[in-house]
Amino acid sequence: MSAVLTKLVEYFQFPFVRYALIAGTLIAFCSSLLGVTLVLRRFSFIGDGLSHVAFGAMAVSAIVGLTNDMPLTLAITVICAILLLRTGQSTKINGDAAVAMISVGALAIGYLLMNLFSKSSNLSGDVCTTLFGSTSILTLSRFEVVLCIVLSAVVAAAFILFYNRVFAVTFDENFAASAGTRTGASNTAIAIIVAVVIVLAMNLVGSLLISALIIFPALSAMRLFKSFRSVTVCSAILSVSCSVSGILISILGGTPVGSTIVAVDIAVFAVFHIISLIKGGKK
Amino acid sequence: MKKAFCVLFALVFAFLLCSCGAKQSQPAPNSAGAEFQTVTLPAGSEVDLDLSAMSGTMVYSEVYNIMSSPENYLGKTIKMNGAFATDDNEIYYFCIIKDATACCQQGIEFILKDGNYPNDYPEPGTDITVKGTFEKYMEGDQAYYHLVDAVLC
Repeated sequence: MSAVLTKLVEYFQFPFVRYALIAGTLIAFCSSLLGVTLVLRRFSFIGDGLSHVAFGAMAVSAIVGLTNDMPLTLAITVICAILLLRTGQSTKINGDAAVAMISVGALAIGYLLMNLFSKSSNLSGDVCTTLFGSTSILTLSRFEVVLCIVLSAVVAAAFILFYNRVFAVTFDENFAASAGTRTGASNTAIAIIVAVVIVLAMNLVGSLLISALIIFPALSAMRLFKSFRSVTVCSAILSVSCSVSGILISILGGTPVGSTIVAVDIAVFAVFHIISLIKGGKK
Repeated sequence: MKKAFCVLFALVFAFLLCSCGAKQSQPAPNSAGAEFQTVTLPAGSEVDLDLSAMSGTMVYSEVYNIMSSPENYLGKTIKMNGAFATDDNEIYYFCIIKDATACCQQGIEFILKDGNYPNDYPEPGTDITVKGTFEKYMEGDQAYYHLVDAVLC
């Protein structure tokens, strides 16, 4: 045990480890806030679709030769999130078809562009680390960490300030609209915030595993808690705990960061599910 | 209640921003905005950065940082473990490390002290531990970095 602690103290001397924990904690916190809303509104796969859009945008950034791809990726993903929302509301292409269309389209175009124009000597490695986030969180620059902190602050502030509106739109959009809430604007705002979280979370777990980061903490919390507030608080605590645990396990054990975090999320979900079954059996 | 939450979160984020911008003792960040530093080992240690004692994820991340901000590591004695490899013409020799997903790999070039290829070098693919001093060299206008005076441990 002391050997593990000694190793951890040694690793914490590296700035990139401290940055990873700061960014990982904030990303997990923000994704958990939105996770509850997305799961309750049955929009779990919007995160997946937008993460593929972000992958395509990162491919474009790499081809253009940007040293920092986050701003362009963020802009493209936000635009697609808004377009997705509007397309989802039209009658010609229904919601899940629009998500599927943009999701696979962006993934295919992104990979195609990377193959055609990328100057990287390790294309498969670049694609792999973007999709699975093997070490991305441990290679963040200071600018990226600061951007992550600022964006996380914006997401957290938006969620707290518009908590009542988010709550109303999540549970009964029609009632919220009839009560005078501007549901269109609220949905657009939620879509933008989801896009921001997706771009941030790509660094933590990679684009293929983002949905897990969003849905598992919320689903675990829902096993034991029933009110919107308690589920959100529990989800945030679980998400941050799993993220920090996953990062520490991966740097100590040499495992991929993204999949380790998701594995911890799955284990916690299993534990919470068992506890809920036991509690249910006692009633 | 909402105001209290807002103040609390504002303080937390301000603290995180400050901790992110804190100055580090050594070395000075370079112009590219890199902020990585090597970890100084206890006095008497033969190496400045011992990658061979780290987990795979840490090694891959630190080698990435070395490649991103090589100026920060000039003159440091680095020890690393990986697979031996050469280029197609067998002129350059590398110690290659893979990431945890085994899809990405990076390498650091090295030159053995008083060593000639192939007699003094191992077979390509052999697992090696190499120690040397990180230095810069130029080929035309292009800067490259390698470990010089290297020895196989």
